[in-house]
Amino acid sequence: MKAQKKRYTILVVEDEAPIRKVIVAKLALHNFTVITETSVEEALARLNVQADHIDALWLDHYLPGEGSGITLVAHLKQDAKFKNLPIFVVSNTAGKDKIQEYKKMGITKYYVKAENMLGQIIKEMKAYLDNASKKQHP
Amino acid sequence: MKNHTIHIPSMRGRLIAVFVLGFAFLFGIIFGSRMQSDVFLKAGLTLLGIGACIVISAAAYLIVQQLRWMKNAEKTSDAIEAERNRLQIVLSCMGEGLIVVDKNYRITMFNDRAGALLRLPPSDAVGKPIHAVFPVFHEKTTTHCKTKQLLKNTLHEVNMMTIKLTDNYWCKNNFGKIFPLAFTAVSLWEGNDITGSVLLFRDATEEKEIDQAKDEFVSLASHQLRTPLSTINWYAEMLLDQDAGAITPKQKDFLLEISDANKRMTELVGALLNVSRLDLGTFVIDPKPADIIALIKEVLHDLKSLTEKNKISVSEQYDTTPTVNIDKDLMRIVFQNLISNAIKYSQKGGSVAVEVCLSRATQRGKKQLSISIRDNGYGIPKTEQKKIFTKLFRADNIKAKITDGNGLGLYIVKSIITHAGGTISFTSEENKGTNFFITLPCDGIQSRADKKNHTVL
Repeated sequence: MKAQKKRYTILVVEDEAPIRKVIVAKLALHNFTVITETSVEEALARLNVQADHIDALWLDHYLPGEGSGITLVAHLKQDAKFKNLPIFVVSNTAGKDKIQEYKKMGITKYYVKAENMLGQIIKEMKAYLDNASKKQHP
Repeated sequence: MKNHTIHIPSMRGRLIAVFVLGFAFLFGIIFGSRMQSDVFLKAGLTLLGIGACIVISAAAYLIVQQLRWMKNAEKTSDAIEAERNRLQIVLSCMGEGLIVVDKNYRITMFNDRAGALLRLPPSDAVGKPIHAVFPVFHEKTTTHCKTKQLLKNTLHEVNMMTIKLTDNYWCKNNFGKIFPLAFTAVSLWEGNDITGSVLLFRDATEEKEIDQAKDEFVSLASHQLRTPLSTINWYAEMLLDQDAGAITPKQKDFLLEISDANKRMTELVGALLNVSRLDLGTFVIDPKPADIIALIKEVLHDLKSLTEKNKISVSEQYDTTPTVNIDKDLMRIVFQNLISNAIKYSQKGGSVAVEVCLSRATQRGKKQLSISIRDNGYGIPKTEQKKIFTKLFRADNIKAKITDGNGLGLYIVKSIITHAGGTISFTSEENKGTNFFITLPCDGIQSRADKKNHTVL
């Protein structure tokens, strides 16, 4: 029970303001500390600064500026510091090829926005993080 | 051909010479016979004169005839020559490359456009085997040249074959550059013998680019459509979850309406996206061994609330079937559509029967799965049965009854089944019900990566 009460910090990378707002609101209700960024570049900068404080990454696929969610995942998976950071891709890009590409790179889970309830995504995310922290600190 | 024209003036000369000589001879004989006093000699010379006259006339007639014939021949040969020139111009102006081969795959004709496309002067191409000049490959794999294999069909029997852009054939020109290919080949025959094949081809690069642009547009547009839909969906969810405070039952009712309509819209966008992917041939087909019956059961489970709402009793009957190589996600769309149609287009209290059995296909003796989905619902009117697999079609008898159909379901189903090498058919009677039959080959479907290597949502 103790592990479930842990407050996680999550970095949400999402460029659509209304979507970002609702994600932040729902995550806060589920006891997450939320940081937000809107592009790959900004997200990388933020991750490098707060590497130790971020427990998970919420990532959209299409992002403004250089690169997409895939670029960011590729970067992180090459970096020893972030190799084990749980990444949840939440996007409306439902193409099988994209999903497979993400999965091959070792992301934790892929959600299609239009097909999932927000509450459900967050619940699953939290369960995953609780499980992972239980394994780390039994 | 030209040697006839040299002869004609000389023929005229000959004619004049015959006449001049003939008249000189006649004059000689007439003058000679007048001078003779001997009656017999006189008569002999006169007869000789008459005979000579006949011979000269005959010779002149023959020469005139020959002259006439020669003139005609000259005319015909001119016409043939003109026709040949015209054909050459037409062939060289053609937008498509044209190659004619004989029975042994040797090139006998090669137009200018073919030369331009393959970067080879036509004179160099004639006489060479076609695969040396026109190497065709499937899916950019330049190891196996398919030219002969493709043309074989037109050389062994009278046939016509067409390769479209979506068939994904490529051609390598003389400089080693690869371009997407579209072509048509037709047998060339004389009497009962096939003497060769005519091949028309073109570089489909431009079409491919347009196709890609269209495809990317669809991908992006559907992404843009989905974003606001997700936004509405998630905000409605928060309100319904009372995350923004308590709501009254009436507010809840209204919010559920918004949420339901939004979900329908999301489904519609998804269906449109599927249609455009199927139309454009960009669907990724990823077959893996799967249990069809388990899949059908999953779909039935997902549709449980709809079944209960419409008070439909579902009966299932399954043979033991082997796992089949299918793309589960695509096949799920098929069953989802057919079974939910059966439920939706039935009166309350109706029944739906799903059956799967293993049968031997008649054609090649290969095993196949037969799947039947039967309802006793509204049915499809006879006059409209032809159109049911067409895009955006909805039958008249149900338009008013069930308003949320989008007319895309069966179109998608048919496309998927066709891609999977299966067949779909149905029988239906208005107010009695409909029965859909699907057959699927047990050895499954061929894997196909995204035909066009670019972004697909």
